[in-house]
Amino acid sequence: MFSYYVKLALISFKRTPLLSFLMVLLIAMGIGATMTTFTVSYMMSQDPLPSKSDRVFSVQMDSRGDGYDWGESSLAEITYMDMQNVINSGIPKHHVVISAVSTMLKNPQQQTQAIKSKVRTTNADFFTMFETPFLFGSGWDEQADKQAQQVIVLTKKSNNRFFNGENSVGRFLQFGDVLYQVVGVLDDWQLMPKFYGVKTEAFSEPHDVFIPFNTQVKNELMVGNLVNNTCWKSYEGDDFAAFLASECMWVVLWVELDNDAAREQYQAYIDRYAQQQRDHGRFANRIYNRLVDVKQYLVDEEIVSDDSKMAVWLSVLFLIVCLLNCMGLMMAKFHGKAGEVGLRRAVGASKQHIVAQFSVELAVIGFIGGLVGLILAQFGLAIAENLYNYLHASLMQMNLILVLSTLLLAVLVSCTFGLLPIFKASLTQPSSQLKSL
Amino acid sequence: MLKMTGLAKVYLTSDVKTQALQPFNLSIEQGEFVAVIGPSGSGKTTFLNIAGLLENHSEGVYELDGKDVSTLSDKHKSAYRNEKIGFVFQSFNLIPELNLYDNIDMPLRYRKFTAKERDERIMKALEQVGLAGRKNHYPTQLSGGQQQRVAIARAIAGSPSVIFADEPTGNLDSKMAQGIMSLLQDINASGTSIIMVTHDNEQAQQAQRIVQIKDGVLSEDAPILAQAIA
Repeated sequence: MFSYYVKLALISFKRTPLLSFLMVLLIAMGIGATMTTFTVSYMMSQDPLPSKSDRVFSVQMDSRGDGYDWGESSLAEITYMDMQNVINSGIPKHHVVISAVSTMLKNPQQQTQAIKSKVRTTNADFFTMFETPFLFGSGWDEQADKQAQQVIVLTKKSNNRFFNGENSVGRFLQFGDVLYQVVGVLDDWQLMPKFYGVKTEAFSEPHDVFIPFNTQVKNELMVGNLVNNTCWKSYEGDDFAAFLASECMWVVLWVELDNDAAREQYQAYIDRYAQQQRDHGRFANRIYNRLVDVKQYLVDEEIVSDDSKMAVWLSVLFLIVCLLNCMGLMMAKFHGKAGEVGLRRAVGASKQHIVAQFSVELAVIGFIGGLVGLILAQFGLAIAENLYNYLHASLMQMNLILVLSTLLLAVLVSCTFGLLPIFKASLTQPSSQLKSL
Repeated sequence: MLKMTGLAKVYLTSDVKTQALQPFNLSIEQGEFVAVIGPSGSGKTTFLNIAGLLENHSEGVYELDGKDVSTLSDKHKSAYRNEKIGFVFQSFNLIPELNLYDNIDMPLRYRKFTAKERDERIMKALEQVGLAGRKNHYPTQLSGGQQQRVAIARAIAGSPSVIFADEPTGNLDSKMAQGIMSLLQDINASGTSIIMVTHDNEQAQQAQRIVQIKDGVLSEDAPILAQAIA
């Protein structure tokens, strides 16, 4: 019977083309708007490390002095001193230190003008823990970290910019007056959201190049506004060593802990460390050490903004308004078919047959509305990509799950909002409507 | 086949009670051709709707093939209408967007016949009404008489035991009307009961029995036929 009902639905389209067109348009507009905002929100809230997000933790410690408790929003960073003190515990499988600087870079052999670039400073484990793919070469090794070597890893885009996409491993980039040797070039790679740095850049592309954190320290490259740098206490002296020794919190530390036992062990380790520091007069505010896994980190740091969620709710309201209007059209459409319903009832259709017939008709309308809605959503996403070009393009792309969800949603909401019209149609008294065909 | 005992129909609104049919008894056997006559507004269509299970009666007992229809659920009534009853209406009631084949197919679809069986029944019904070559035509491409033939084909395709015809020739000229009457006679001859509401004296005379309804009062085998119709 299903194919018969689909055939009847298509015939019904021909019978009332304008009404059917308006219904499809209303559903499409509502679905298009909803799926445009939902796609962005959904892509923003994806698990960026599905294979290990429950094993990768942000290490957070409250090292502030007594009376400096201004909330927990800035605890994602710790001091350089604390990072150095906890980094050699030997408990995590990997630890990743994160900071950043901004500088001018150029290929000394090809370019005269340096290009302003964002530099991620980190350590060798970064490439292992985040499973970065390489186009050429590889990340640097622990030796390079220890010796603070002047090595550099480029993103594919930077490699295109500085070396025209050639294999640049072994070549040099000029970093101020210093040369850095290229050891690797990343292939296309994008964690979405890019949670490991500052949250304002969670949806932008990775920094242009990567250098060892220790090299940053050795070359006294001061952090700029690419990292959160929170100082609750002014530091003594004005040189870089004073900055390193200060209570300024500017280093992000991530660890990978293989299992619950390792987590508990590491938690105990940093708690002991904090207590020791407290005994020496630091950590006066409180002992508050947290290991926050990736998913929780996204929530805590509000990576997916409330604005984005609000936009989704507003578009859902718009969808409901569209569907309420559509419901009125459904009423009119089915009222116009009262004669046919009367006839079908007379020749043997039960109420269930009528409900099934009209449900399929609405499902077909919903499906077509969903298809048109998908096109509108693509159009909306293209506009959003244009307007918000600082956001990564992958945020504006629907995956297969979203495409299928769109169609399913369109069919479901069409049938749901059609329940009342369908119910009313099924109650048609055949004897009273037979003369209206 | 059809037995009505003390049957009556009352329409009730908030402040008005209308007795559409006074209590009556009527029995119709399988294979009979019964004409129902009476002036406009006398209750003929109400009678037909009740007999065809399109409306419920208010009082009395109506047995169809020995079954008290008041005990049937809506679903069972639908099945009865589908399997035991065929309808022919004055205005044909064909769906204009469906071709003849699909119009006749409509009641068969609710009966879970196989596609092959439906096809055989449709083609047989079309042949019976002389329109086998026009199965892909649409109702608007046919004359009134031909449309009524299609409606009859739709009614007989499911092999019902009774056909209720509500003024089947009311919209046709006399020549076409006679063709339809002949067709109904042929169908009746094959054993299908026919209960036909009509205004036409001559057509009523072609039935085996005549039932008259006047002011909601049903009387069987009206003695002065011409006056009753007038």
